[in-house]
Amino acid sequence: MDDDDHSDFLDLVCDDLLELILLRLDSSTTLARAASVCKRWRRVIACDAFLRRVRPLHPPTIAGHYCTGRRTSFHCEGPAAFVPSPSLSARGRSLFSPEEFIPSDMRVIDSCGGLLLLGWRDTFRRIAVCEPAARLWRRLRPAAVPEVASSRLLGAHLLPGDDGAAATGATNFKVVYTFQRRRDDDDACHSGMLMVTSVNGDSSSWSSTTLDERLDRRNFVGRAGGSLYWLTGDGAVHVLDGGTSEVTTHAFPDTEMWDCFLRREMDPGRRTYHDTGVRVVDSGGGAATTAAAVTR
Amino acid sequence: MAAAAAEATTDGGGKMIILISADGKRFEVTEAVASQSQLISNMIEDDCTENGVRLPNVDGDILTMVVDYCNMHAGDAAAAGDTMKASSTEEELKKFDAELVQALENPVLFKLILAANFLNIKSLLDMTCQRVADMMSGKTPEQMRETFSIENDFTPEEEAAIRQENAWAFDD
Repeated sequence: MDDDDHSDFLDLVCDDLLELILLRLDSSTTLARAASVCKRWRRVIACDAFLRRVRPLHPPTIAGHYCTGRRTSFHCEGPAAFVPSPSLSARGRSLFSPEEFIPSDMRVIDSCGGLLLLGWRDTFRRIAVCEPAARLWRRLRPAAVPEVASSRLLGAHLLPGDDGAAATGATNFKVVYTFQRRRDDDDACHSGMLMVTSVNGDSSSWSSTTLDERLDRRNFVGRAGGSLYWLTGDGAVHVLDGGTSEVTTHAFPDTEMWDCFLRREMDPGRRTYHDTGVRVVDSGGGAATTAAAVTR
Repeated sequence: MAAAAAEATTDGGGKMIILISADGKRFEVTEAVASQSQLISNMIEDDCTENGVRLPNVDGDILTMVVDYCNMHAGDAAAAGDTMKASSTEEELKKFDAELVQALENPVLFKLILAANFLNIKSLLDMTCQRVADMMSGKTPEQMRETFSIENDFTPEEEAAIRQENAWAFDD
């Protein structure tokens, strides 16, 4: 081989072949490093079609969990603590440590993929999404719709963005807010509102829905396949489809045990909701399984 | 070496075809061996291999390796035909493949990838692409650039921003 072959032989390889090579890298760490090599590699790796192909090959590694302690109504009481996975390096531990990047007056509200939803106590007008690994912040200003102005914020949840795979950084996600409507007539006690803010790149959009139920933090029972689930006093399951942002209502499985259990735990007359012990969990492939811990 | 490789296959029986490299070297191989290339397999089906198959994109030294590889692997491709001797055991094949890719210098490795792609030999393409991917494993971006003689065309500011964004992937 001639010596001058050494200089730019990789240029001979077209983007399709470069993709074939990059798809065979052993980990997402190596892939991230490869994306820092040169502009061409970065362009090939950052391409949506490539990312869709490569993501399933490298299951996400869990760096650790944020513990928020006891919740009061909307926010938790204290700052979050980071519990690292045993395999996380010392550098990773400091990278994800809340003291390193979360202002002391901010609280973790929710998390999804590698993103955190953060806010300040008693206001939803100052809310932010952070990607700790990259120290990227995205501040949100929920739309100032009249209904929201006269409503009380009950909860906020973070969901993956429109591309469905997983939250792909602080540029593509959804935030779901639930409100209790404040109205004079008594009938409105249980009515609520739900607002979804979708952020994709620099653009964001929102939609809102009025509901017959107030969807509280305390009757939130879990998430599966990009959808959120609430279980309310009359045994109705409300499902927000993360893809369509639409809410559907289903009856809770109608068995004697459930009836008895629900009547005891979720007395509609008292208009309070205990922790029901019911959880919806993701059983893979986007299917939801309901699990319940029943005490006598 | 090329001639030896070609002769070694004649005992396998079957019709012979001639492959001609960019620099005019000729390789005589059986159709079964050559058919591992989807490109040539299609040409055989279309009956246009009579006067030899010219491969203007593939140098003689690269084609030598491709023919060696195809000769070694003809056994598994033609296992269905009982007239064909199984030329190598699975273990021998693995050893052969490993030695083939391990020994390659970068420019040759990349030329082999291009040849495997052009000739459409999937197993060889997979193997050579995997070899390049393995060479990146555990390396920093600087080491990757050095390994593959790639110029860093980011500005220092761009590089700092990218490093920040992917901070989790770096140890220092």
